[in-house]
Amino acid sequence: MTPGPGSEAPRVVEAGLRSFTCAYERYVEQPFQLGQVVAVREGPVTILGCIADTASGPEDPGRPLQAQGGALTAAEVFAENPHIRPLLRTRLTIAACGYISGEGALALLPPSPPPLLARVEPATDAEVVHATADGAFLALLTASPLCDDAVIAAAVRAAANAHGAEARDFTVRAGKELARLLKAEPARLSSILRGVTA
Amino acid sequence: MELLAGELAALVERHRQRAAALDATLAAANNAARAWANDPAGGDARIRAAMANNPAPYATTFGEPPTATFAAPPFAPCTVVAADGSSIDPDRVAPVPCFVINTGWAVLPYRVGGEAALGSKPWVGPREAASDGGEDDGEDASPGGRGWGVSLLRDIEERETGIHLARERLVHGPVVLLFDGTFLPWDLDSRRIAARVRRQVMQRLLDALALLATGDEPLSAGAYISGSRSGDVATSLAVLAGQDPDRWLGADSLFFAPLLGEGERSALFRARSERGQTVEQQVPPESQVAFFYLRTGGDIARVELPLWAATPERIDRLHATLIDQCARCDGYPRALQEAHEQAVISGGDRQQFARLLESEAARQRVFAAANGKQTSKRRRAV
Repeated sequence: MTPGPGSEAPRVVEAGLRSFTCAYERYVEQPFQLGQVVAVREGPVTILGCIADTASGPEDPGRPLQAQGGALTAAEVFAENPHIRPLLRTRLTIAACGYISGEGALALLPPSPPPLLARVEPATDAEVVHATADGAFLALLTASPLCDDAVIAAAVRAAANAHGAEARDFTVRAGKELARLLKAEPARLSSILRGVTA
Repeated sequence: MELLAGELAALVERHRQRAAALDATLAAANNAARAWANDPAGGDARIRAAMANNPAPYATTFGEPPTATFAAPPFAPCTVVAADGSSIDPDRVAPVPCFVINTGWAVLPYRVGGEAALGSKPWVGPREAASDGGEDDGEDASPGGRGWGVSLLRDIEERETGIHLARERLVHGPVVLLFDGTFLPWDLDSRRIAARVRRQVMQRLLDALALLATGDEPLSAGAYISGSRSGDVATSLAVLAGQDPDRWLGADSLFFAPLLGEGERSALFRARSERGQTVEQQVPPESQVAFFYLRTGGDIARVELPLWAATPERIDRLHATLIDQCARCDGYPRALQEAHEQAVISGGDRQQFARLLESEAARQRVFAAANGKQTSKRRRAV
């Protein structure tokens, strides 16, 4: 019953080519962040995805979480009611944004979905740089119904962090790529760019 | 429904009359209890004399006056451990007779170290080839019948699971171990269960009880019976009042309901019986059962505990924890509720298991004998 090594990593619980869902074994207050690039390394290729949504709540929909605790903080309510945390789960929705096969990073849908129950881990800075440098990954994100303007802006910001000293150059390239992809949607482009520079 | 409605008025009237008659019985019971409190040894001696050649369960005092009540001590940090079980009983129309036992547990640390844990462990039985049994194998020990003792196996799994988890958590501080129902599994003396099964379970029970009853560790243990209908104390009071126990208070809770204030517990009592070969007579003296009653809201619950756990410190911890647990869960211990939630096998799960079993049996070309009643029930066509 004691969590084993690495049990904190969420695992794929629903898998598709365009998106997949992963879940932590428990409720976590600090899951992967919106827009963060993550990697599933357990299949024939390393699949990269972008965090599009996070949700936490009871695992059993028949037992809704009751608001309780009076003046206590959330941490105090959890400490006073130790049964609650094991009944909660945190789930992440991830939009696929490319894959790495051998030495090459491709901004394309993966050839097959990630394996169910595969571990989902943060992509390394090197993987993020490799997969996002030319901004091509934005084509998949802008086409995904899971990715609204806030998700895409967060993804650009998160990728820029991985580029380190080259962050500004990357952001300019990403902006240009977005302008090309969204030339028919100027309002959406403006909204995303505002989010990128926020 | 119109036919039934006409009978309700008389039904309620009969109940009202019984309740009115109860007041006089309660007054007599209170008098008997006061006399018992004034002379516990004399009262116990009279009760033991009445027990001779009588299989009914009685209660004797256990170091506290029978009319005493005790307020709950303050709750102190501890880990509460509970185990509960659920089962799918053998289906005589299934292609392969079998059963499922699912043991659920809850480990809840309150202001002590260690992580909370909820979980369950299901398994399919029988694990050995079913036998028609032999001598002393009960009146229904055929494969697929009660001879397998599913409820007994469920009981022992609950106890083993809870006891092991409780001992693991002692490294973090005091532990309170809770079970639902009686402390000892009474099916152990049921002759409807194969003797071989009863012998095996008895050995497992003795091992588990020995593991539980070790040392001076801060471990409390109790089995919680919500809405108990037991009548050991009532039977003893009838003896002391010179009344026929069969025409007396039906349940101990009727006597203790007016006596106990919110959160209070009754005195401790010893469960006694002269019935031959009772389960209790087969366990070591330190694991035989004492009990008290506890008021939580409208419920008068019976709490059974082994004699070794009937020390003031352990009883106080158990009492305080039960009151705290009930306050957290609408009048029933939270840890037992969560263990139950883990153990419960839903209707959907039962149907899915039946389908899986049919599917696997069909794959191996094993089919159930035709059963017209079952088939007809499934169709329900007009």
